[in-house]
Amino acid sequence: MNSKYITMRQAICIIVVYICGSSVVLGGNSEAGQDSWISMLLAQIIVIPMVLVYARIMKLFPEKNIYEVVEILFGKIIGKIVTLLMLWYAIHLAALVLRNFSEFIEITSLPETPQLPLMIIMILVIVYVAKSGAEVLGKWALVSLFIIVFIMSLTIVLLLNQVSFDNFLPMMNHSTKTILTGSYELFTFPFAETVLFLAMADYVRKEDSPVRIYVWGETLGALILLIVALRNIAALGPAMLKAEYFPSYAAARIISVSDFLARIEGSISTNFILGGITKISVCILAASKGLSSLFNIQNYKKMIFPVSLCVLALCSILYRNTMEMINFLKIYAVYAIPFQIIIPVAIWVGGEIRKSIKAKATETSA
Amino acid sequence: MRRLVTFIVIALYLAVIFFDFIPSIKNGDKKTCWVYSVLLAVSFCVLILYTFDIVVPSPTGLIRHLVETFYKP
Repeated sequence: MNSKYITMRQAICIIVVYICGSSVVLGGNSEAGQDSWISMLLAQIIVIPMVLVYARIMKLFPEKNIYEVVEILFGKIIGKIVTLLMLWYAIHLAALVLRNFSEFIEITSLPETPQLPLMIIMILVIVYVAKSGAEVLGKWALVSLFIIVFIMSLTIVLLLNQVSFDNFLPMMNHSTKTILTGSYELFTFPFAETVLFLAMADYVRKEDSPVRIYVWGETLGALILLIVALRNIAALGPAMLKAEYFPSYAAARIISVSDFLARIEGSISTNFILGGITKISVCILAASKGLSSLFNIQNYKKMIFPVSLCVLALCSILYRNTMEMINFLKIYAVYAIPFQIIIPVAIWVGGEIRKSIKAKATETSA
Repeated sequence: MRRLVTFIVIALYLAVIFFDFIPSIKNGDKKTCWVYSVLLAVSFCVLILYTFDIVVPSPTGLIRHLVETFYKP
């Protein structure tokens, strides 16, 4: 039985798996080398105020998604413009993650296979998850999180004979600027991408605390990514970390236990698929709701397939090669600012002003 | 291989039209029909051009140009 709402636990799991998404395989920022775990910690600290802004928006407008909120606050015209911007961001992010996935599969497993069929298979699964509704997505996230954590733990245990804690030295060898730049890049990808969860805010009951959902989700997601980063540094060392496109996959590849347990890097692909499906499903749900809000279409589920096909088309033309995809991360850190910071802060400020005006009007009439 | 990928794309769109588009518009909602059709047409054109190795301009270039106007990474 599908109810409209998701539980708080499901919401937290969606956010955790959404954060892990592609980052659990792409790894954190590798420019900082052996200091990238410090970047990760700093990123988690600097994202907290932003996450509290997102949670405050949910608190100010309970059981309303971001598209309904912008129309209430800014009126029809500006509301539609902001909706269009967030819709574009959701579609673009879905295409970016889908492209990450197909590049990963091509590089690691199927170099002779064209990427388009891989993307099509993935998108069909995602459409099924998205059309099943938020409650199914929540339950899926619960199961995926368990599997992701299990596989991550397994790789850590199996790598214990390969790790060297000397790989963390010398500590703070990179400049403060490099570490802070790495933190900011981690802030934009993947932590502040949880702004798209605001499009699913109407699935969260008003009795549930949005602050707890967001803070727990971000903290657990960051903890998983921190553990992954530490594992990768300890196993690979800074030089290999910078050289590899997919450090988690490279770390899993060196697992060898008594010559009988090896080549289990396929398990990392499992993590990527599970995380990727959840992340892209959230993006596609957000985009479908945005599109239905833009054109005043009642049932957003009818827009899931056309939006997914647009994501597929965009995904295929985004980059010419993997190098372009990796280089785009630096551009993304700046490009994402309006969607992750400016628009949510504007909504938050507008919401607080509206609340204080309403409170004064209530006082005056009383 | 190119022909196979083109065939897969056409088969996908035919399946989407048959199993999702037609049932969606059966209740006569014109707006949904128009939006769905436009998105279907645009995405189909882009994908077919991609399968024929015709370079379609990517938004990545425009975004990179916009960002580099303000900040050079």
